[in-house]
Amino acid sequence: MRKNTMPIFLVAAVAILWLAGGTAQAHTLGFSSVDGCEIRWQESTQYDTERVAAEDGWEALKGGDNCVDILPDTIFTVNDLEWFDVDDEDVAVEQFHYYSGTGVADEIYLNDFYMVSLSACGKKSVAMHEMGHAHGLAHTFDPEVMTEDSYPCVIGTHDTSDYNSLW
Amino acid sequence: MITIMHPSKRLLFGTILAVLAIASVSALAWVFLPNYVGGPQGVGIGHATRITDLSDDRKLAGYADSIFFGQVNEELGQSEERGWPETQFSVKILEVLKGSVDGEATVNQQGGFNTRKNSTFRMMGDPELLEPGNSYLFVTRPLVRKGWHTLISGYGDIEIRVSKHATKNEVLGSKHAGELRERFTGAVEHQVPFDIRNP
Repeated sequence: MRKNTMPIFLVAAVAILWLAGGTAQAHTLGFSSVDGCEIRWQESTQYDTERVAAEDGWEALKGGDNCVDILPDTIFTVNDLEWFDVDDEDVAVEQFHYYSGTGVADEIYLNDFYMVSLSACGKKSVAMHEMGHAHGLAHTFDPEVMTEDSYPCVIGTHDTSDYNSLW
Repeated sequence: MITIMHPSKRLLFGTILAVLAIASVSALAWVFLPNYVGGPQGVGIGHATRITDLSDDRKLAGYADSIFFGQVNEELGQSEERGWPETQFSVKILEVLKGSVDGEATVNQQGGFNTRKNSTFRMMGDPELLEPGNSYLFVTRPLVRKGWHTLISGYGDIEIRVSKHATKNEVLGSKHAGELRERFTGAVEHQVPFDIRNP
């Protein structure tokens, strides 16, 4: 009897481990704006407070092996990311545009058409969400910063584990 | 005291400086210029976030301004006015499931060639530009100032499985169009209006 239950137990254990592994799997885009260990940016957005909050939020995860610095671009550095605004009803609330190639900056677009309706926390969350994409993070589950249909303004557990898996 | 360099030494130093300057400029040009003038093309990928779950047809129908069957007549051109490339197409409207489009419409698709970055650009989930002669179910949002119906990237162009340049009856009478009609008529009926403050 005992002998017969063993395979069932093993199958169940493997299934549980597999499922646990599945849910813990990192959500990443496969591309990012990180150049070496930093993101150099330029900006042309009215949402400066939100941009700064986004940078502070992700930089707070630095430490140990995590290394990504978010710094303004200078004449001596290569620009990695540019912030812009649009104001149109037909395109998304926020967009991250990645471009391959050396010295070709990626872009974040914040859409004023929708941004004006959001709370202060919602606006910060939108900027943090796009900065998460710039770090290479994809959409995740649960109401966290990298979830597509919610906008908390504090980086969550899955956000952090996805970040840690990359950087 | 001023030390005057021997003319031959001056020539040597001058030559070395000139070679270094040319080497530096060449190195910088070799690294950066291919991205801007000719050289190998790069790839751009756009990732859109809409603060709603568009994989839910009812939410997609609520977010969309228009949902319709149409056939692409021709490509009208490309714009980079907003900073990224977008391509416009003339589309013959075949049947409307939501909205008030009629006759012919200009459908705008985010994607094309970014001349500033020498890169082909596509939105995630929308890897191919529309093809003239093909028929699609279009799901769009309006850009009123341009008179465009912009595809909701990743969800906005479902190609109908019929031959190129199929007739209206062939498109609308196809099994695939029938399935999509049933799916999206139901979605429109039970649509969840888009409210960014309550996603």
